[in-house]
Amino acid sequence: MGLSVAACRSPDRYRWDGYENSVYNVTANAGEVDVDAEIAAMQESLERAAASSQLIPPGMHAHLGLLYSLQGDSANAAAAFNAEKTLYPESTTFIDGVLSRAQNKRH
Amino acid sequence: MNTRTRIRFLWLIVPLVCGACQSTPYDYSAFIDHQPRSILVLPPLNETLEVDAGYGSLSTLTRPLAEMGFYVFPVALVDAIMRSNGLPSAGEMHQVPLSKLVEIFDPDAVLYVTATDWGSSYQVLSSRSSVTLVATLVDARTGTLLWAGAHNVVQSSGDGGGGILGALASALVAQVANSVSDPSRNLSKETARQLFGDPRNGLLPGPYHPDHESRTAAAQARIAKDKGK
Repeated sequence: MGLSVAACRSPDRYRWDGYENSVYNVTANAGEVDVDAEIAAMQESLERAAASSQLIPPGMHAHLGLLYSLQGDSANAAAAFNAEKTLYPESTTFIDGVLSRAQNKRH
Repeated sequence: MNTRTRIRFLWLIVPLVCGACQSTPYDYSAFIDHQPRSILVLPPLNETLEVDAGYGSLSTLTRPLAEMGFYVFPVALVDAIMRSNGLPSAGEMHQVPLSKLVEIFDPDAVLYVTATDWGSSYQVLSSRSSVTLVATLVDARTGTLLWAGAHNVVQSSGDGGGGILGALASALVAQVANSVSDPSRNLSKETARQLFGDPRNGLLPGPYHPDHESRTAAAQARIAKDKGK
């Protein structure tokens, strides 16, 4: 079942590592997230991707930004959100909205 | 047509677009006209009896879409923002007007997914897991339907050799393994990949994909040829 499809699939453009699991952990178990562990896992995924020949996937920086926000680390969150915007300009309107809402909360 | 009506309407067109029963490939005219680059994936509606189907399937949708050449908005962040804006579940999120989604996210297209089958069942000599995903892709600014599809993948143990003892052993192994980690999410990864990537009825590769131009040109040629008939 699907053997021939798998055999001729080209290698992934992006390096995914723990992204899918982290998305699941944060959305399915929103009340019980081990944010420190999730941050560590995403940081490692980003480092591995940067060191590899594969690219950082859409949303990964922003996902780390969400994790930092959950931890209350607004400086690192902003840096991560800006990284998403730089890498993927399609996210500009969205990220600018996230950043300005975070800004308004602080004041 | 509001979103709920649009998704119910899908049940009429799904038989026409399912991979196994359609003889002609999908008509990508609207898709090519609007050529989406960025896709907003909302948390899927869960029409199964398994609580985990909604977020279980959500976590499997980003990768196949991104690998097909689209920018996919960060699904966990999107979910968190919608929840903090008074939309507690996928049902409410699917009702948000497109104009509001454009204002907040500015996507080219919005993907509405429903999980209609999820989970595993266990018989004495076999176990069976099944996932079905139904999806519609809508142009964010005009509401035009760009693409729709549905796909089911089933995985069963007990197909192999080894007679009755072999079947019993593998069913038991499956049941124990599945109690530790849900196989539906892995099955959903494969379901989404096959759904979006089907060469006749899946999505056309997006702008980040190396085959984007060639596959789009081929689809355009087929549309022109069909029009000429």
